Amino acid sequence: MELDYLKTLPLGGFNFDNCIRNRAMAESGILQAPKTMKTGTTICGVLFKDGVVLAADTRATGGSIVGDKNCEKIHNLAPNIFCCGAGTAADCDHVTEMIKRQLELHRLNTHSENRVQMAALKLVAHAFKYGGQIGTHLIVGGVDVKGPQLIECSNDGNMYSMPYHTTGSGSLAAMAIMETRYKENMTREEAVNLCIAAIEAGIYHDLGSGSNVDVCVITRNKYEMLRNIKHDNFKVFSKPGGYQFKKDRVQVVEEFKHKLVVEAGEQPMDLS
Amino acid sequence: MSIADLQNEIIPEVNTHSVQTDGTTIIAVKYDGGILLGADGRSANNMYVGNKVSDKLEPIHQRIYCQRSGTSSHTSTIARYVRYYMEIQANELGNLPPVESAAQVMREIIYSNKNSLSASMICSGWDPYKGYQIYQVNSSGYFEQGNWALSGSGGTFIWGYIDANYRENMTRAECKEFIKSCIALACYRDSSSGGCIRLLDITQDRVERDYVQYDDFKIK
Repeated sequence: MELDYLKTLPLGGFNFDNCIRNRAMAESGILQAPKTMKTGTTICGVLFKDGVVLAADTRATGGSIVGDKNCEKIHNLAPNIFCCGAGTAADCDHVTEMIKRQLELHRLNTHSENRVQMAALKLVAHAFKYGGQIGTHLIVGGVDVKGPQLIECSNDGNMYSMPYHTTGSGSLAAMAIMETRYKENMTREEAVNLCIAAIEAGIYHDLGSGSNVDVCVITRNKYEMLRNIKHDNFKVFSKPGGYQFKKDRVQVVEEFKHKLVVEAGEQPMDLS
Repeated sequence: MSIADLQNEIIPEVNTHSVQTDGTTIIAVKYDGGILLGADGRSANNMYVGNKVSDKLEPIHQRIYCQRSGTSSHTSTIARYVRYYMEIQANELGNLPPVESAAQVMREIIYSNKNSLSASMICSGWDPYKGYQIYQVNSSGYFEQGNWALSGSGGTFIWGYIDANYRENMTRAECKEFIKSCIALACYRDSSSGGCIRLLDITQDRVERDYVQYDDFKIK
């Protein structure tokens, strides 16, 4: 029997067809090989007396186009752990979501708080497996049994811990602010103001970063998400009254009502 | 050109683009009654210093430490694996694991993955079987024992200095000054070494860390 169709099916594992194509395009000299997309961001984190402050800008870019003027770059990993993401937005979203679930399972299994070190190690182990192909440059911060922690995890699988971190295309501008203004044992106010100043340096001096400043303050047993704490570049115009549609624009074809019966008490889960 | 050729040729190029490297100076020296390890504190991405106080002295076991040079994500992962295997071996032995085992495991990991890794490491410490030992594992997966070991990009600049000034059975204070001057000299001439000096003293009874700020470097 002829099984030629099998050859047309995709093979398992990695596919390097684009490598051949890119090389052929580069060699031909007529067409340029496609460039990988670079994303711009400024994110930073600072340790202070009794907690951690994380901050991020809110611009998402695709090439030279601003895709989202007010996106969220501070992700939640656990009730006591947050993380700022730079690099490929999709990778940051999905990797943090995946680790968040692993941490929740660990929390349920052990009945104890997650450690920041563990979250960082999981992120790094995942990034290392893919040899830097996953674009996750993260700053993980949180408070655990060992106190406030701040760890940077880069996409090639490297992690290190310092009292202040900056990442993303605006990291140089932000680092300049950090290097000059950081002090040990700052108060909450000082730390938040330092983070805002660092992110604003990124917003105003780096083309890849822009819009507003998000800040997250994590202390023991408490976190505060201060979304758009600075909004110098907030959208100025919006249609007064917003957009409203007439009620009868959608025709009701059929209408029915059903009464739900709720049984009292906990119901055991069916495990059969 | 086949896909296999492309994999060998293109993929490493992609992988090593803008990764953090320990363009480093690391040195380990045996002295009279111990081992002193020294490392600079710079980790760089191309032209940007990502970390100026990085810790390239990584613990493997109670009396075994390794020093990392090469791509820092690779070397820290290797160190993590070696630490895991030495923990198992220590439990099996019910005693401190041999330094040679740690070096051998490190060599094996580097040798069997040498096409995808960039790692050159020094493994040194004390064990009850052979005493103080220093092993250097290079990036091709070869290892050798010696009274001193030197690795990293900054090492190039101080081979002559070490050949001229190293003596066997130095005292602890002499050895410390020797290592400090070695690393300060390397940092002075090597663009990818700098930041600070981290020192670690391993003796039979204890392990002690020391740190020298950039401002306190002495070239002469």
